[in-house]
Amino acid sequence: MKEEKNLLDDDVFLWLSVSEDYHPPKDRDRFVDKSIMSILGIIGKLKSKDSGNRKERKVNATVQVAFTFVFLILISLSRNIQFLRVMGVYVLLLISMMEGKQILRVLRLTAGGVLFSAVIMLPAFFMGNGYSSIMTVFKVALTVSMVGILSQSLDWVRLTGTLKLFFLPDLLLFVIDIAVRYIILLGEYTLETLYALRLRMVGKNNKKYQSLSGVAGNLFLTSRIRAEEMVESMECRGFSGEYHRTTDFHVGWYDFLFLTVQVVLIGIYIYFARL
Amino acid sequence: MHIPDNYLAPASCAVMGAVMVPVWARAITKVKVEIPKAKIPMIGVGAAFSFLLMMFNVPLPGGTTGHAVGATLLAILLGPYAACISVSVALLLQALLFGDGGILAFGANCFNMAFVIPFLGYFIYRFFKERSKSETGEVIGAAVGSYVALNIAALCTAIEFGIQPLLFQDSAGRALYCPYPLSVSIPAMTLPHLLLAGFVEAGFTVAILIYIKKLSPGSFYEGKKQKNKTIYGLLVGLILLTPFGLLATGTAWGEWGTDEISSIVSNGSRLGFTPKGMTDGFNFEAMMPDYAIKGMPEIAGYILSALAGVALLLIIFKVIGSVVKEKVDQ
Repeated sequence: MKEEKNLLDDDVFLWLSVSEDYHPPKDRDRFVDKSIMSILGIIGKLKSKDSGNRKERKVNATVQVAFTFVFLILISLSRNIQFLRVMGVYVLLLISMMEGKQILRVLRLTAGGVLFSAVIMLPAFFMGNGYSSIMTVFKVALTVSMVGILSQSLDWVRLTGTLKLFFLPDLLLFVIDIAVRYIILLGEYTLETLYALRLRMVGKNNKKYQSLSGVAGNLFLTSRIRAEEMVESMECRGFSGEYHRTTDFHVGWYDFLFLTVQVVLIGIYIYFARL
Repeated sequence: MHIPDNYLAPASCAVMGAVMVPVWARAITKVKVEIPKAKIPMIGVGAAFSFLLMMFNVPLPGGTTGHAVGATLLAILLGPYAACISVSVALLLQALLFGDGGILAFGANCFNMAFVIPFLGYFIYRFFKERSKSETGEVIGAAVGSYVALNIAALCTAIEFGIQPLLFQDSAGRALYCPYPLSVSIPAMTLPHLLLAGFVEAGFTVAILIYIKKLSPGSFYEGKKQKNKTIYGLLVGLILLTPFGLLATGTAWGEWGTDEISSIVSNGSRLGFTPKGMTDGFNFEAMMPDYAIKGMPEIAGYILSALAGVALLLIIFKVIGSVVKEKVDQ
């Protein structure tokens, strides 16, 4: 009994009575933070596409993709700035109908494209090729924002459905489909690993890059296991590797309005091309 | 009422701009506190309304044209501070994209249309509303407020024009900028507005106010029934009607181009010269000058301009609404 009391006094409670004075040496765990942020960013982007409001009335995806493609060609063919102005109004209208956050994404994309092409065209501008360099920058702005609008308004299901209609091989569709889903799943897994890693790093860690290989190796192993499991479970459910498109080609007044606008725009292109 | 560049001396423009800076600063802080995040896009819708109303030109006696502004309406719906921001942004777009109203004269235009009209109109409206409890009293307040405010703004514009020849002359005693003294500019600006444009403004204000109160009061008033479809429907309707603004062919008083001004007849005599400040002055190339697209019919250009303006205003305020942080205490 006495011995026990001594033990408590000396060994166990001694460290409790001493005021703690531990200042861990400063360490920058930038690499973990940076990895976490970039993974979060990608997952956020992919997920935001999936959470699209299904009830919202939307134009048929195939029609939208096809006409976007047509207008990309028309814009690059056009030599008339007036047609580009009309297209500019159209693009502005499309953007104005989106939500604030989506608008920001499209605008960021467009700003990048415009800035890049403006810098590229700067020498031409100063060498007296003003008109055509302005046209080029304008065209880049229009095409980039049109693609941005398309990618913002299509969720993954509708996108793969549309690609199927454009005769892309099933294998490719399968790869896209699985890749998108697994980027999210494995990304979340990596995030958890990185959080765990950060929690366990106290003080200065000189072996950061070793832990990086640990994270990567673990990720690789997990993805292999999960891929095997997925193939087995999909076979169990009867998936043969072929994609079948269920056709629900109902056309609403919304589609008619969209088609009318597209036809008018093509008409305007022809009108200006003949001037 | 859009003062073009070079009609006011740069010094006058600087003074008017300096007057507007504290107004804008106060308006922004007020709006940040008063308007919830979800309602910020409504300021854009308001700006779009004002933009469209300014495209409806009505022919005025004397061969000129005038237009409504709708600032009193916005002040009633959103509060005067938000209305000030709405109209300022609409004016900025008009100046930058469509060459309507000058870049240097932006401060002066904002003073007349984005400061005088919403605040004065709102206070007159409140005066009537507080004294009569009925709906009629409110409507009368809106009508009187918008009529009086537009006319006072026209008077301010006239004074800004009229003091130019007194202050700025070249060595030969000819005006450098706007050539008309107060005795010409005040009657030329105020009479048509008193006789016609004021009533157009009051008519628009009352009609849209009643429409919104009846169909979608929640769009602007907290906790009421909200139907955004009716608001956007109204916008689309106004856009389709804008070509009526083309029926009035004259140029608004004080908005002539440099090529027109020397042949303008006032008080029975031709001006006969182009003021020096205008020929050598600041010249800004707008994206879509005069609301037109070359090679397209005027009506199509006008509608496209209306669409572009409305779309831009909606985009601007939707983006602001999504960037602004939610207030904690809400």
